[in-house]
Parts: sequence; structure tokens; C-alpha cells
Amino acid sequence: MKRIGIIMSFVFVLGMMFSCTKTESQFIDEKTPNERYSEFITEVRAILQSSEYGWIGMLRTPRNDKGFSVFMDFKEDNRVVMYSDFNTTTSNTPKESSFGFRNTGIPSLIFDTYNYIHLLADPNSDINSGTSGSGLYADFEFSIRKVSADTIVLRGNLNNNDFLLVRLKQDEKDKLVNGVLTDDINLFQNYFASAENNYIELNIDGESRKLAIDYVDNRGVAFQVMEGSKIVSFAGPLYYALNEIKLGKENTYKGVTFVRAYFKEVDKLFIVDDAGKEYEVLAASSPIIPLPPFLDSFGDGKRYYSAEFRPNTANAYFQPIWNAIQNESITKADRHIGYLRMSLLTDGQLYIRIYRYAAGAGTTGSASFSRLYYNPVNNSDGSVSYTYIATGSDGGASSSALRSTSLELEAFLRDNKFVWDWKNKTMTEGGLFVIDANGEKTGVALTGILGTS
Amino acid sequence: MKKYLIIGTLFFFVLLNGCRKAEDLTNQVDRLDFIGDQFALNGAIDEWLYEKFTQPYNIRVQYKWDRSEVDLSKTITPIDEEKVRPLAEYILKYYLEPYAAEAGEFFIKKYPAKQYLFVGSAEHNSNGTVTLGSADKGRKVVLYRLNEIDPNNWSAVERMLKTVHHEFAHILDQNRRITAEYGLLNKADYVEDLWPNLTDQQALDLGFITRYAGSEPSEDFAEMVAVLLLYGQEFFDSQVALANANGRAKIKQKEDMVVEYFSSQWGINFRSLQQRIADLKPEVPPTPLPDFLDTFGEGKSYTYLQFESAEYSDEFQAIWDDIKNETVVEVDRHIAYMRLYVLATGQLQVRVYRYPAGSGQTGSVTYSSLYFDVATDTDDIVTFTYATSGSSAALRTNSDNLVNFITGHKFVWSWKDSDLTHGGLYVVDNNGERTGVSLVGEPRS
Repeated sequence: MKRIGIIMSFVFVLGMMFSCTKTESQFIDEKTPNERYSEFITEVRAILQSSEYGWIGMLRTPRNDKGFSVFMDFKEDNRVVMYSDFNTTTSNTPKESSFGFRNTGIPSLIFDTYNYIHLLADPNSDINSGTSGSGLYADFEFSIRKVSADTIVLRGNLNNNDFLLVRLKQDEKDKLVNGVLTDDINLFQNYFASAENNYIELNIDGESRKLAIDYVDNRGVAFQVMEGSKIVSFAGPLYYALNEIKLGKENTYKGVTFVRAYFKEVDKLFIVDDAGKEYEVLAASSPIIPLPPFLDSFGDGKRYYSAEFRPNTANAYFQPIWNAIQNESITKADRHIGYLRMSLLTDGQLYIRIYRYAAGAGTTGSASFSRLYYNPVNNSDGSVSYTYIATGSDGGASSSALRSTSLELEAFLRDNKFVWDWKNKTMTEGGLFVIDANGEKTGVALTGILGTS
Repeated sequence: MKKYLIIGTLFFFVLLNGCRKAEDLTNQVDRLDFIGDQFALNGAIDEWLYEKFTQPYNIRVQYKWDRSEVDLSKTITPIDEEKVRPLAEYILKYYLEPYAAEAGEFFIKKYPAKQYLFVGSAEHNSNGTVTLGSADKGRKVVLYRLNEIDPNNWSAVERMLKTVHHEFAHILDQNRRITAEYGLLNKADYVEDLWPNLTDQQALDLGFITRYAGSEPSEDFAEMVAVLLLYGQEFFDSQVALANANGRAKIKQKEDMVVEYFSSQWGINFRSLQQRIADLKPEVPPTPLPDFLDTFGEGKSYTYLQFESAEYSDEFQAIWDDIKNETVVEVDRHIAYMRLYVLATGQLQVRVYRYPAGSGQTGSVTYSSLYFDVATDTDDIVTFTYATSGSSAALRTNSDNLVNFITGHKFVWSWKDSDLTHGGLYVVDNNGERTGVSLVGEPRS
């Protein structure tokens, strides 16, 4: 009996303990998720709309490391007006659309009808030169990551694009409305198009280093620097802003982050780092980062077997030679000459194939070719010339006629001194460059797109 | 024992009362609001859509982006607001209103999909095709690639409307099936995902009105309905005529089944519906031609109009003959052709070209010019007054008929036809209507 009493008392105490263990609130700051979401969105909306002159947005598409600026002015009733550096129309013409907020697990800002920002994401590759079906892998739905009065950090929900909004000032807005962005695009892109061997000089730990600069597709900057014998590369997007380009934070070397570039004077570009230090962009006469020797990659058994010369890549000097070949060496009826390929055989012989296609068929359909062989003559200055040895046939028609009709080519190869070299820094084209008595390239060359057959 | 009773009672009392806290539990099952404010209304468009679609037809047209409504794995972009109303108007006019008129109010409120989703880009598929529309369980129709449709370009609009009719045919079929015999006609010929490999001719020869119809019976049916209703009987028949005997027979059989299906299953007179839609279609493509003078004139794409005798309208032939016979002031030369220029000053320059006699248009050429001042009224009607002749004074005296023609009429500059290969000056009457007389040549640069 006494035991029953003890048990009952125990149960009673237990009942007391458990019946009231509920906590007063399960919510952070005593607010439901919806309440916190609403408050947050209200705050973000207020900040976005508080900028009288709008925002400059810098969108980086990580799959291709391109940068685009999208200027946004957020209005009442979920309206937004955009400009963009996408092209010289979008940079000059305001376009209005809608935006909204949505809770996608994290509060998100969504541009829910089409505007300039969607041009980048459009799966129609005709619009943005991206991938068909995917565009530039760009976003228009963004998680709101960090918010301050002047800066809003966003991250794309689908493609992880970084999108940074920075408050615009009145003078910047005035420039935007007055077409300065369009002028910038033209100015910078013209400069990029003619820029060659650009670099800046940087002092790291008391040692001067040259950083070679390439402008990638007008949408990014790629740097290269020699560290001993090693080439170090880094690259990041660029954004056309107002009288300057802004550089993405990826453009950082040894703790120095390059944040923008501007023309201090006509054609004098300066890059500025995050400490405000300016570096003038200079042009060297030859590449800052030497390319590997061409003949390490070109020749029988090497990475590239042939260089394919097509007439539309002819320089003025070579055009008459090409015309001579094209007009005369067609030994089969109803065929025309499409292109020629140069190869270097293991014994140093130069081997040229001239490809013929069916008339009117461009370079499609079955090809036949005739062969020309040349012996190398190594000159004392290290250059090379080539002398004619023989023709071969393509197994069908005789190509003995080729010799007599390629005399201009023969003379060109025999009477000039050449060096083999790359044509471009991306090392996709190369061939024979004529040099003068001082060993300098004359600008005359027989080059082509490198291939393996 | 009594003691235990007291303890027991106390225990139940505690159990009963331990939780009688005045607590609002609803707050704790607060459902997350995933919608946010993304459907914030844009006054004009949304009000119009509500009035034209939601109220009369129970249809919600959703054009604002909602990722959850489309394939999450695809890159798709939203529609441009500017396209929404013009395209929605076409859907009303060419789809909802004709069906409402033929099938009645109850039908049109019940069967059309309750949600229309407008999407800007296409949906790209892994087989290289793009999806232009989809119908989801009869409840939702998605129309893609609307940003690429110029609402003034009828052939582009027509493709969209065909998709609308195609998707609605699916809904009808999902509610009341077309007879199974329909699918059996081509049982062995359907190729599912391989339909892009079919050529138009192969599809027709197999008995499919379009290539896509070759994918499966339900698509075949939807394509038949859409082509018949929207592209019309004339187009349909012209396609059928291209098919071989086998294809022709099968397509015509299926056409009969479609007509019978609408009648027996829905009480709809298919031919009447078809005619109703045909009557709505614009007679000529509504696409406006570009302004002629946008591309013609000094410094523009085309700098002169070339007049060869074969291109003159009959009315002008006599004038041309006059010029030809009379204005030759150099011995042993003949007049070959004439060119019209609009100079930067706005003046019209007429040049008559002469070549050595008997040598066609080869050898050295000489020419004489006439200049006219121009006046343009608000309706772009131009009139000319003679200004001067160039170096060759004789031309003026010998070209009265030409001068009278140019100064004696009102003209508009225009293209001859939509392929924009010929154009020139068209005589108009006092009401601004074209009289049929014209001076039309080939624009060249």
C-alpha cells in the first residue's frame, strides 16, 4: 500500500513537471518567419527606392567570367527603369518593367518582366552570343545577401551570378541620361580593339613586375605576370560605368585589387587600385609574356601538324600569289581551289597541300589536293628559306601542271627569309613571317589556322 | 485509501489544468508566404486582363515570372510587358470569341484552361527543338517565345495562335476522346521524339499534316485541328495536294473524323467555326512596309532608281518613247535608261543615259539631267516643279512630256510590293488614292 502511495506521488510530480514544459515562444525575436520576412523586404524596398538617382548594378556571369553593368532606378508600385552596357542602344534608352520580392527560402529580388537584365539570360543565343538554350548563364532572380544604405549584395538563384548594387550619385545619373555610357562603350571598345601588348608596372616587395593585360571579349580583363619562369594568370570581369570601367574583385594580385580604369587623357588609360594608386597602361613593342617557341608545337608528331591558309585571311602582299595559284593550278575540270595547308616534315621539308573542291560548293563536299615539297635553306641569321623540290599528285589527276602554275609561290618561299612564329597570343594561328635585314618582321607573312591533319 | 484518492484527484487536476494557458496556437502554424509581392499589379494591363479574360471566361492570364510554373531545369526568360496586351487581344479575337460564338457561354467558361502563362523565351529541348506551348492537364496553357513575336507581323502571330488552338484541341481531346480509329490509321508511322528528322514531304506522304503530327496520335489530332482552324481550309488543301496518294487519303480521312468529332462530341459545327475564324483574318499581311524614303535618297541604302523600259507602267511607256525619240542630241547615240535621284537638298534629279548607237549599254556613256523642286504635304504627298536642266539644254526642250508628267501630278513614294525590290513614284488623285499610274524602278546603291 505504501508503495502505491510512493508510485502515485511520483506520477503526480511527473505530471507536474511535464504538463507545463512549453516554452513561451518558438520564434526568433518573437516574430514569425513571415513577419521577419515582411519586415526585411519592407526595409530592402525602402532602401532601393530611397536612392533618388538609382543604382549601378554589376553582374558577373561566372560560367564565362563576363561583366555587365545594369543601371536600375526602383520606383513605386514595383516598377524599375533600366539602362545597361549590353549594347549602345540599351546604354542610351531607358526601359521600364516590373520587379518583385519573393520568399524562396531566402528573401529574393526578382525581375519578373523582361528588361535589359534578361538579355543576358535569354536562351536565344542570337540575342547575347551565348549558348543556345542557356544564353550567358545569367540570373534575374537574386537572393538578398547583404544590405546597407549604399550597397546591396545579391546572388543569382539559378546560376550563382554575383550582382552588386551601388547607389548612384546625381552627377552619375546625369551622365547616364546624357548618353555618357554609350560614349564609354565606344571609347573603351575602340581602345581595346587596337590595344597590343598592354601592361602595367607594379612594385611588389621592392621588385618591379610587369603585368600583361588582355581585354577579353570587351567584357573582362585578363592579367599575366612572370614569377621567375612561371606564368601567373588571373582574370575578372569589367563593367562599363560612367567615364570609367569598374573592375571585378577577381582582378587582384598579391593583395592589390584593381577596382577601376579610366582615361586620364586621350588614349592614356590608367588602372586604379583599391588604395587609390594609379598605374598607367603602357604598350610594349613585343609581348610581355613570351610565347613558347612556335616550332615546339608545330611539325610532324607535334601538337599541330598543319597551318591552313584561307584566302580571306590573306594579307595584301600574299593576295597576288594566291590569285596566281587559284587561277592557274586547277587541273581538274569543275573544281576550284579552297585553301592550302603547310606542314613541316621531320626532315625539315616544307610540305604544302593545295585543296580543291567541287565548283560552287565552297569548301564542302569531297576534297582533292596536290602537293608541293620544298627543302629548307638555313640562313646565317637564323632565318630559313625554302627551295622547290617536287610536286606530288593527289592520286587522281596528274598535277605536273602545278609546278608551272605555282612559280610565284615558289619565288616567294625562295627569295624571302622567314621565321616561324605564332600569329596571335591565343596560339591558334601561326606560320611563316618574312623578316628584313635587321631580323625584324616586315608584316608580310603566310600564316594559317593550326590543325592536326 | 482515501489519501490515495486525494492524490489521484490532485493528479488529474494537474493534468487537466496544467496546460490551460490562454495561448493563440494559430500563430505557430503560420504558413510561409512563398508568394511575396511578386504579383504586384501593373494597373493598366492587369485591369484589362481581368476585364477581358477573368470576368467573362474564368481565365487568369499570368505574365509575371514565376519560376515554379515552368521547367526548373531550363533556361527561360519572362515576357516583355509590351507584348502582353497585343498578343492577348489576338487570343481573344481568334480563339475565345469564335468558340464562344459557336459553342456557347457554358462551353467557353468551362473548358478553356483556367490559367494562361505567357513566357518570353522558348523552352529549349535536348533534341534541339524548342517548345512553343504546352497544355497541362487541361488546367494550364503555357505559351513560349512570345518576346520574339512582333504583334504587327501576322505570320508570327498566326504561329502563336496555332499553338493556342493546338493546346485547346488537347484539352478537348482529354475531356472527350477522339475515336481510337484516328490513331490506328497511322499506327505504325508515329515516331515520337524522332519527328524533327521527318521532312515536310515525308510527313505529308505518311499522312501527317505537319512534321510534329508524326510524333503521336494526340499531337496529330491537335495539329489537324489547329491547322484547319487557323491556317484555314485553303492552306490545308494546298498541303494535302503535295502529299502522295497514301498521305492524301489518310489526311482526308482524319479531317472527316475531326469534323465528326466536333459535331458528335461537342455539338460544334466545325466548318462554321472554321469559317468564322477565316473571316477574321486580315486580307493582306498587316505588316507595314518601311517608309520608301527611309532607304532611298542621297546617303541612304539606295541612291537611285533605275528605269529600264521593261519596268515602266503602260501609262508611262508613251512618255518614255517620247524621251527616247526626241532627246538624243548627240549623233550616233541612243537612250538606254533613266535614273531618278533624291538629292540631299530634297530636289529630284532625272538623269537620261545615252550610249553609242548599236552598242546596248556598253561603251562610254553620257547623260543629261533635269532637276525638280519638291513640296511635301502632311500626308506625304509630293508635288514637283521644274527647276533647271543640267549641262544639256536640249533635253529640256525635248522632254516636255516628261516634265509635264512629273509636274502635272501628285505622287507618293512607295514600294511596289512587299519584297521591296521595286518602288518609286505613284500618282494619286485629289483624295490621295492611287490612280494606277506610276513611275516604278529598281532601287540601287
